[in-house]
Amino acid sequence: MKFSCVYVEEEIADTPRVQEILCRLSQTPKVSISRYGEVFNRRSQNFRLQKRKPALILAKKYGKFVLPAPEGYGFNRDPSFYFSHMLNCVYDCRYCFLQGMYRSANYVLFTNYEDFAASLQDEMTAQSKNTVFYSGYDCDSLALEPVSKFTEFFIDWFAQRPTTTLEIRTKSTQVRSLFNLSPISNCIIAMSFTPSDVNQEWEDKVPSIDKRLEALGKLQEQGWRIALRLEPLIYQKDFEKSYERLLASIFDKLDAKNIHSVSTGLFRMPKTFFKNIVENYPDEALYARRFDQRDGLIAQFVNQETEMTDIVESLLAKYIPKSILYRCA
Amino acid sequence: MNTNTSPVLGPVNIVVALSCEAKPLIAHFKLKRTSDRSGFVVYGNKQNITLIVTGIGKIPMAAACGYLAGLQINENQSKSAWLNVGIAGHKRSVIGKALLVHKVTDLISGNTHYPPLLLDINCETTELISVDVPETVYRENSAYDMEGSAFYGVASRFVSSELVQIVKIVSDNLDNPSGEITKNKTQVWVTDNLTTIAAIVDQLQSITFDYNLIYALSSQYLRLVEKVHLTASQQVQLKNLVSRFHALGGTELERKLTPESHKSSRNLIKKLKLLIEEI
Repeated sequence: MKFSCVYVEEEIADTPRVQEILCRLSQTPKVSISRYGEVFNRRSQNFRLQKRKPALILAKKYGKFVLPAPEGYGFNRDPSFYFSHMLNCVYDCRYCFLQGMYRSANYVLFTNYEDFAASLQDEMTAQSKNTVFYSGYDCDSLALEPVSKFTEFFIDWFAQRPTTTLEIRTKSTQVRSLFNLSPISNCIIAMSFTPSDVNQEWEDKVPSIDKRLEALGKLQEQGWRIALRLEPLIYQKDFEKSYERLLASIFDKLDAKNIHSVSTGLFRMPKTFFKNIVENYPDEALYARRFDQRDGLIAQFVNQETEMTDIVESLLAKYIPKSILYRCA
Repeated sequence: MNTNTSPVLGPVNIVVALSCEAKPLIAHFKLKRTSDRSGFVVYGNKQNITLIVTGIGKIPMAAACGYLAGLQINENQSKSAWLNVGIAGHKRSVIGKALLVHKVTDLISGNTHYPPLLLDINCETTELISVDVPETVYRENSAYDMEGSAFYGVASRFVSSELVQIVKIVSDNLDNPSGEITKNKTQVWVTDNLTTIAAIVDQLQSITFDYNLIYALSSQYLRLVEKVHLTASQQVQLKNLVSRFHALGGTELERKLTPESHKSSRNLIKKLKLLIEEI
């Protein structure tokens, strides 16, 4: 993983985790900063230009570490929360809301994992039921694994708390670190997929479907619980055939009986994010399409959404029981 | 997308404080004096490179950047990259060495900027501290100059910060005080680093070209605005519709707009929406 530069908050520069990361990036220019916001939130930045060569920002997270997951996000009705040890993603998916959420394409890595763990513990203790924590909402949880060592820390933490569940959402094939760990039953590796035409057109730098399936298959063989996230569903000509092919590939490589859950998710984002993305990508056909606007969100038209969801779910019914299928909000 | 037939190279403004810094650059880029107006001396060539000599200090630097930006206002709102080239002191670095700036701080105000390092250049990077009087103590292991913070603060108002860069050449350090700097030495240092500077300019031209291709107003849009009176909000609407038309693969826009479409702004916008739906 190459970065144009590493920005390091002065406050954490001498911590062991930051020192270890910096050792691995000895050839990359290092720049001392006070707080990550002075680089990340600055005006006069162009997300699209920065995406050519992003920098890594090592920072300390303050404030809220764990947030309630959006309603309908999770696979069950247990109390759900999400946490983000990173902001931004190493991949460049044109449909992704992060392009409109942040001014900068640089990656922020919060290195005070212990503070995250303390907040997870607080939330867990406060809930009477089992709790589910989602990672991978504002980033890809595994894509920066060689640098972040996220799984090394958090899998060990969740291993000691079997009544709580961690879902790691990813498109990455950086799963070597998981092979070195013993599988735990309360961790789900959820891999996102779109059909190959969407992958080729709008998922720059994302590993191919075959590579991701290979990684997921190996994890499944090793005993990790895996899940499939079919999102976002983007209305395309011949989408039914595309999903037929995608599902055939998926269930050819994976044991359908041994899948934790499968979800579908629609293409939706707040109007302000959409507007920011259109400003950055005025030449992008995806955003030149006609969209619907409902409850402050930009979405595909209801008839398109219904048609796609129904068809994809009926295709899925050939492979998996309905009980493990859900719609992710 | 902009369909202008722009030059293949995007515009780059090179900004220097001293004539002796400018001389090797003028020769290398074959620049000719373009402005005889009083104020600042401006040079340019047909490859879209412009150079301005500002004089020493933050105020002349800020004034010159504003002056040049004013000269370059154009109707299609295309942008130029900005590059400050100049000499600087440094506590430890070797005399004559070029350093790309990754952080620039104004000593008095404490304001800091972080030029994004997007270029593929084999060049060490440094922090730069801009001072009001020549630095002789070099408290930090950084470069010291008298213009960088003003340059960055002003230039990054005109264009996204990725397109604003600073390269400094070490002219003095603890063992070689600034009193020993001469015009001839300065020219030699700049000349010795022309390969690096030219590589930076080259990459900035390439990025700026791409940038303008995406973000500058298309000639089609400009012709439409000339034909029909539009309010400010209608102009924004029209710009977005023209972008959408092209993004969706639409072609021959002006041929498809009938004379009826040009009768009023509402007609024009309505027709354009219809054309987009037909794609």
